Amino acid sequence: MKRSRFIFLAILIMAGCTPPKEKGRANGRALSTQVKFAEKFTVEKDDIIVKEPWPGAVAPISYSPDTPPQRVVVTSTTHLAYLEMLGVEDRIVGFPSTQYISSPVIRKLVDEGKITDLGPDGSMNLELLISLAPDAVFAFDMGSESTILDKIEESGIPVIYNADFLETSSLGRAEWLKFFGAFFDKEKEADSIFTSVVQRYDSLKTLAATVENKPTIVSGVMYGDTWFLPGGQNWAAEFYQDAGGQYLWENDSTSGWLEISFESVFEKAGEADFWIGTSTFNTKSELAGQDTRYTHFGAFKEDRVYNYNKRLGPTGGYDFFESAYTRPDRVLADLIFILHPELLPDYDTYYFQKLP
Amino acid sequence: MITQFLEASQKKWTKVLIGLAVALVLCFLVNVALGSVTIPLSNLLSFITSGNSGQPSWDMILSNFRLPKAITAVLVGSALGVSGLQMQTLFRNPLAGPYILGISSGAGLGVAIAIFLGFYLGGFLELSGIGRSWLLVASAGAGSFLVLLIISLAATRLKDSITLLIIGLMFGAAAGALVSILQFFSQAENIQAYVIWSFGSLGSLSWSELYVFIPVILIGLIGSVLLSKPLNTLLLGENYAVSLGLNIKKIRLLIIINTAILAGTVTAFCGPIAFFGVALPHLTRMLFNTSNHLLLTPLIILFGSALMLIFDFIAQLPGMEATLPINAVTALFGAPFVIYILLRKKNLNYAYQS
Amino acid sequence: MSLLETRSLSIGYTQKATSPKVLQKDVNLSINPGEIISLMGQNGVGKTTFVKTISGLIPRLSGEVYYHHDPLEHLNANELARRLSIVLTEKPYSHNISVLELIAIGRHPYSNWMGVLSDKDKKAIDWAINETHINYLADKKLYELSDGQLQKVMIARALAQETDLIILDEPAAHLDLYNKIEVMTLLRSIAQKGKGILISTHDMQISTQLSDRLWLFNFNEPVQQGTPEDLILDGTLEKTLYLQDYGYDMIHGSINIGTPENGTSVKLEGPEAVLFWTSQALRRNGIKVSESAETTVSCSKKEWIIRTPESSKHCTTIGELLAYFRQAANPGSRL
Repeated sequence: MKRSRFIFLAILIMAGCTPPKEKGRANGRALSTQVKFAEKFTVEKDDIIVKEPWPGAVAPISYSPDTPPQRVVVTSTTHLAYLEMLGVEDRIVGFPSTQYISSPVIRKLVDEGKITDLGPDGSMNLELLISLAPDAVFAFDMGSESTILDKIEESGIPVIYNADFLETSSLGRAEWLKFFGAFFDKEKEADSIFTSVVQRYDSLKTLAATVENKPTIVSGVMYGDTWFLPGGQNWAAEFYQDAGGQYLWENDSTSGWLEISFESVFEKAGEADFWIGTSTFNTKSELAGQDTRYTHFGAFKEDRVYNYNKRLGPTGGYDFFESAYTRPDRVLADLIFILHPELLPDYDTYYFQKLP
Repeated sequence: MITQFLEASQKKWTKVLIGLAVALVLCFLVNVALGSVTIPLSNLLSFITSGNSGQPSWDMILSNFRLPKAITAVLVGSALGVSGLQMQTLFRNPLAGPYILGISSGAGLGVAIAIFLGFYLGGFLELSGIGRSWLLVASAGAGSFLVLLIISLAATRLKDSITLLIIGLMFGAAAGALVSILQFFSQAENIQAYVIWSFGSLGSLSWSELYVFIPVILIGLIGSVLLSKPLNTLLLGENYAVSLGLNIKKIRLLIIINTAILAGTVTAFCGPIAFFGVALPHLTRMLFNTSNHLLLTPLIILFGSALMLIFDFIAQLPGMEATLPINAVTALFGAPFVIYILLRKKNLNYAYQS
Repeated sequence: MSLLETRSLSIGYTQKATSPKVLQKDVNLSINPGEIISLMGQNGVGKTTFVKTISGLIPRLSGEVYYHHDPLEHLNANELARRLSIVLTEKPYSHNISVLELIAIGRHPYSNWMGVLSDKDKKAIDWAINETHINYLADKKLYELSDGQLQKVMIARALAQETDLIILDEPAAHLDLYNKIEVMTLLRSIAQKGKGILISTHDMQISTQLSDRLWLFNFNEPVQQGTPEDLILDGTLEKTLYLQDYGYDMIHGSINIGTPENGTSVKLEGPEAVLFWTSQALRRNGIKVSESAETTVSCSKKEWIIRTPESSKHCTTIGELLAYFRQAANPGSRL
């Protein structure tokens, strides 16, 4: 009886049905990381637990990091930024679609051939990946990547699921630096960098909280005849609020993106003070060229249109999407400078610039 | 005495057409009057009479958004319906539609190239001052024109229309494959932009685009009216049509060009709007119980316009901020409608002989 | 003056690599007003090719085709459509149009670009409908018609085209006897109005009873033509249709299914109609009808009396008569 129960359990484990999954249980290193803002991962004793490894996942996955990995493959540009901040970018051996990397440090590694291009995102060249013999693959699964990730695991290479993109707060997302710190045995470094980011963010937020007039903000652009803009609980909406602005959709309850008809946007935001975030449009004439009706917006007429395109990589990638998640303080400072330049007299924006 | 029959039916159809035209005007007015933003009736009336609704943002919404969109809906509805009808009759295939010859696939390929290689074109665009919307229009137009060219060349060589249909399908499949390859090597944002284009939209045309869109579609619609008589002879089959003095190759080429102008232009400006062009001819034939093109063409122009206005009205979800893609609405509300009519009519003859 | 005339016409298919495949050569035929002509021949002999060639659908290999005195190549598609109309076996693709609309399409070569009918067009349609006696169908949709009605409508459509020459392909295919007779009567009355009618057919009644002349296409032999009766009597029709070996009864125009004779032979006497059907029944059952037979069957309308040298028997139906002979041939079995 006992024996058959054991076999049943073993089958369950093999089938991957027992929550939580446990990996590298054997001899985990003791961890000291404390998580404050992030909601999707936590650290307990020698375990790192990803609470929601992919959207809608019910079972957490826990990892027990042992010796820090020396050769890793990462799959998202945001991972690159975390590793670069921790100073372990030289351990990256492979990345999908390297042409879109904009960080100069990592670009250099690509150009020197130290990082192998694994082919297009979402359909990486598995044989190439295995031949690199990485110690671990840091991956994300937005719902469609699971088959290829399962194959990597089958081949014996551990896959570590990152869910930083599921965080709803900007500091929570930035805190995933500690997740990488725990794996690479850089917990102290991660903690001190993150603490200083939090401190700067908090002091900027306090500074902006003093303003009385809060300019109104509209965001996003139209695709077809539908305007895509961040929901009221989106990462971006929080920034606008903390920077002393009034995002016109801040009362909305969506954390993703809203798809709204042009006339609704125009009715609400036709006279908005600022238009921040114009996707791939880098000049006002490009905007007008796409749709002349953009020119009727007050922010457009009064030249208050901004985009996050100040730092473009040599191949056209937006550094904003690569490193901004790790440095919310920089994003906040940029936005405060745009909305209330008098608060940061000698500042120059890092990511954002006014559309010429 | 037989002439009496003809005159009676002429009177009856004139009444039907006038009724439809009135319904179309009503649909147009309702479409313009209602939208996500609620504009009171008194302000609407003052806008209609004096061009001023009393609030600048409403003026802007009415004149630069709702009016262009309603006009676009009218032209798209009639253009897709008429070109679907032409393809169904030419190929004697009830499943044919405006895109059966691969016109939307060609347009899609053009757009995919423009979006996915857009990075390389960026500099060129800024130099030439061409807006992005025109780039999409131009690339979609170029794609469908290329398909048209190939199909026309085939049409002048081939005797058999069905072979042409197969060539069109093959071409569509090949273009689709190229698009997937391009997508495979592209960034998520570009894929999203392409996917959104492929949803189709009626409200993305501003007046500057309408100035091109309106005349081209009108030319196509006039062409389709002129082609009604030869299309009628095709109702008897190609052999009979030839015996009636029809130059089948010439007419076939004209029909293909006409359809390509209509469907190609619609796709270039509004994206591929699926289903409508296949379903509308059936719906019109069933509701009005005729296959006579001299009647069907004007019926489809009026009925298609009105129906597209209604679909757009549904897509806007009046009173709500969000909108649905027009493609989803046409299929979602169109398909049950067609099924309902089919079941109600119980006309099995129809199922096999359109 | 003939409506259609071919001179030294060669028909067939051009092939890319090899020399053209000639189906018929040196064809010299003509149709006169008021004539009904049946075009006959085995499958593959070139009947369809001939029709397509004279309609200008496929090029001729050599020779000339004239409509009245105009060479085919001088007529454009529209002019040809005013000289020649066709009625095919294929049904219209769409059945969701009214009879009137269908016949109006027949006015295509005459009506303007919008298909608007002039008074002349309306008159022609009127005439075509009257001529074919389908007034009661005018407002019906094609899907409401029977096969026979549809065929008359298609003939009306050809009439509305106002051509001197009408070509029909198997006009009685799929028709029941009643409708077949109607269509044949209709074609005859149309011919009497001075039109020429060319029928491509395998139907013996249409060719031998309706037609004024036959055109017979043979493999590797010149085209034969003449009145049906002449061609039957001199054996040409039998030979053309490869019927010599199958006992086709050219005299009665009926088929003799080859039942082997079983040795019984009878002598028949009685009125002609009863004699005809009785002998057909006996022959189908392998009984030879012979003047010199010992057994005699005397037929009248309701009675068949069998007289052998030994006995006699009364039968009241042909069925009983046949049963008697079946039992006589197999004495072991019981009635």
